[in-house]
Amino acid sequence: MQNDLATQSIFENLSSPIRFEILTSLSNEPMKPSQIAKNQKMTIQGIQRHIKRLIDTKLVEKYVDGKIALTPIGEITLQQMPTFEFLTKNSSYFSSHTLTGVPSFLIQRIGELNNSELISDVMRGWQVAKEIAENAKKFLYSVTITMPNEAFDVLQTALQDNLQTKILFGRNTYVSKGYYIHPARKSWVEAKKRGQVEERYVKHVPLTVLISENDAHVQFANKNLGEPDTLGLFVSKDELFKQWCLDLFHYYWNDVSKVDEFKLQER
Amino acid sequence: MIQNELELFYVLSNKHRIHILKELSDQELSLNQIASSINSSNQVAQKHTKQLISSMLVEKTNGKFCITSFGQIIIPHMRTFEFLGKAGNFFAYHTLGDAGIQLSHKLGSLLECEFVDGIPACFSRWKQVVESSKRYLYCIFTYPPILVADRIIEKISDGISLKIIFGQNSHVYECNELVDKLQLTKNNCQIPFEKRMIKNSSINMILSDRSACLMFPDREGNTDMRRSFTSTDEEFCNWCLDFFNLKWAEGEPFSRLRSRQKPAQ
Repeated sequence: MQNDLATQSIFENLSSPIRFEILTSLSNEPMKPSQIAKNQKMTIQGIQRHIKRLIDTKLVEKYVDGKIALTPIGEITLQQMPTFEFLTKNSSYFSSHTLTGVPSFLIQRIGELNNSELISDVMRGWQVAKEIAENAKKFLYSVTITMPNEAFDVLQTALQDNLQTKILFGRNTYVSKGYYIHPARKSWVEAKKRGQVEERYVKHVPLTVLISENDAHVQFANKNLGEPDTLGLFVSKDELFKQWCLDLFHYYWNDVSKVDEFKLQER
Repeated sequence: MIQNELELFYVLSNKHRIHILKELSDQELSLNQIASSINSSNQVAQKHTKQLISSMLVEKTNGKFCITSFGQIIIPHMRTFEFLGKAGNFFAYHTLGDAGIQLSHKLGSLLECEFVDGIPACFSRWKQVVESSKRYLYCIFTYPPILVADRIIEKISDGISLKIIFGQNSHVYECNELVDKLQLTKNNCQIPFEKRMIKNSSINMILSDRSACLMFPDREGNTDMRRSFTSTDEEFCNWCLDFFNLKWAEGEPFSRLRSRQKPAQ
């Protein structure tokens, strides 16, 4: 099948470290074979063999002036690399977690999460979330499976300024005992009354995302639980990462069907 | 554990392993079943499953092989490459034009389509798309397909909503001709015909609420009207609709195209 032939031959070239490097080096500008050989610390004869393989698969082409350049196939192929890099460097994580609840238009863009750190330690994960909340001044948006009571304390000051907060809960969201009577919750409720805090409710939250103007984190569903297990959290300040998280938040905030407010389960 | 994506690419560079992975995405299989699905011996099948397991795409439980969630996540991202292969060498000599990197990640959405080569075949597909419309017809034209202009005119007389995007690089004479014809008809019917201008229209499109046809530019930026990707698939059409709406939002209303110097490349 023509499809499989192209797929397998493109992957064959990508699996060769030398050819992979040649391709990435060409993304800046076309180069003469001699220059490519120099970069790869190889002889011209040695490099010609590799270049020929790349030309045969239509990943690169030879210009009239002898320079080697990426074809559109080569360019498009390289544009997929952040996706594969992100998924393979986190292959263990994605063996125990799924992208349940992520809409397909965002699954396609998953490579935008590439510049991020995976935090596996539960305590550090909590710390990261706390810091994101503490540093938020303009907005804090969240799709969440849990909310610690101290969040009310952390956000109290910022809510007195201009912090805009939107939080989405599911029936599987749990909170700590005393959530509804926590002292600092008073300012939360007042902020809700004046529209500075908005809460929405859905049937089920299969992932979590927390995003401010500075940082974002996202957690995906454990494959057996169908919801996050807090054993692994991607965090970043990168613009593409934050935009992806923002788009995921808006998908849940605007597009997923809502239910009426309910009391969160306390544990 | 895989160290890097090059190991993954090696595993996926074999058509049997790709096939096995796809089979396993539907159901778990025994070694025998895998061997017969690739018309090979159990030994050969075993070599392949070993590779798939070492790259974390597949796992073995209770004597059966099944895909891991990592494997399930990888599969849709191979669709981009399958689409590239769909049209043979087409994308060696054509680009994604003004769609750029957003389309590049979504090429998998276009996978369920027919690649058509040659003006007569393209013309018949354009006609089909126009005829298929029940509610709307949205087009992006550099060279308006005059051949289907009459069909389009019939459709807006029936009450179909028509929107056309032209580029500043569009062919002035032919486009104005089409616009004039459409304006005349518009005056007789309820639903407006709207048009907008964008800087450069290199991807061309005819899109109805049922089907779509896409044309891409060559390396010089000129839309190749002799080859089309056409489909009734929902994902394909949704992609086209999103792209159209994006360009529509960029565009500005205008009355007539004006002769321009060909823009510098």
